[in-house]
Amino acid sequence: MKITNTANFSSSVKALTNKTPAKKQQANIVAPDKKQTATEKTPQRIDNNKKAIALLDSQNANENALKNETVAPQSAKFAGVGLDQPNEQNLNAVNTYQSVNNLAQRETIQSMLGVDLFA
Amino acid sequence: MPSVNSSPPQSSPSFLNKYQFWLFLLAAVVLRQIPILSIPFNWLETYFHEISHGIAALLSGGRIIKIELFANGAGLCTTQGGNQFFISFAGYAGAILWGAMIYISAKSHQRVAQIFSIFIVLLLSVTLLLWARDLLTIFICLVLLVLFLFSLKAKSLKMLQLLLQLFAMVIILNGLLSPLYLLDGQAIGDGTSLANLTLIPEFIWVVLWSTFGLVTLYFLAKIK
Repeated sequence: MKITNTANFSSSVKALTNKTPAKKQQANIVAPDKKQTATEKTPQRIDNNKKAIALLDSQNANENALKNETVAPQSAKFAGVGLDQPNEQNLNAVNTYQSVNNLAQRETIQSMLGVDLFA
Repeated sequence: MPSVNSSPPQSSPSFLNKYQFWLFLLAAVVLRQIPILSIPFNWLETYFHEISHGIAALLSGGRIIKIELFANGAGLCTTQGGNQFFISFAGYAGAILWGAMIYISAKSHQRVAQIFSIFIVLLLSVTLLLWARDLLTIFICLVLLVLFLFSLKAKSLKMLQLLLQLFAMVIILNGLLSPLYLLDGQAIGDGTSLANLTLIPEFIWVVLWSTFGLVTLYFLAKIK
């Protein structure tokens, strides 16, 4: 299993740094292999996952807090009186559109009624 | 009772009498530059421009539907029937003619000036009753009506003459300069209408109206 291999690898890394005699080291290496069964490892992994999940949760919470901080000023802006008020550019655009519409209406009326406009 | 006599007989006219025309022209030029005071005087030209379209429509067998005047000096005359060429041309030319008629009437005789003012008051009243349909146009017509009524109520007829000459000069000056606004690259206005009707470019019509204004000014300057 990969898990045991990694455990072995980590223990072998530890062994490299230890200054204990080689035989003891071998015993130490072999011993974990015997102790570490599937039933023992699963709870460890669960523990680790719980920590990871907790860490992830806290990270998510932080990210959400940051997002809320960045969104909050905008929502505060729109929560005020300016929420329904279009900006000046939009108003100009609407006015221009309506004036064109009025001209079109005038032309329609002109053609319908046979009237002439002189400016 | 105010004097009815025309200008008093003078063997050698004073400086004011001699250069009266140029002084009025200068006054009109200055008046055009004054921000708020110039507004009602600009409406004068607009009104006479639009009423000229209307009168042309009536003379050529059409009818006036409505006249609209705007605060910025723009105007609109809606007509039905009549000769399109005549109606289109009458706007700028008519305003200059109205200005010339007011000036000549004011200069000729005090009684003539009075009668002509009453005629304009009547014309404005008819416009208000028959062709002004929106509040802004009604307001502008009322302002012009007050302007002419104020002139009629002047203490002396000499004052009426002077005021009418000033009004006339403002109308002619605006009538002379306003065709130049047509050279804005936009295909709208009387120049475009005439260009569409005759295939003669708008520029030619603008030159024609402006020349007519200059010639009118020249002849008015010659009147003693």
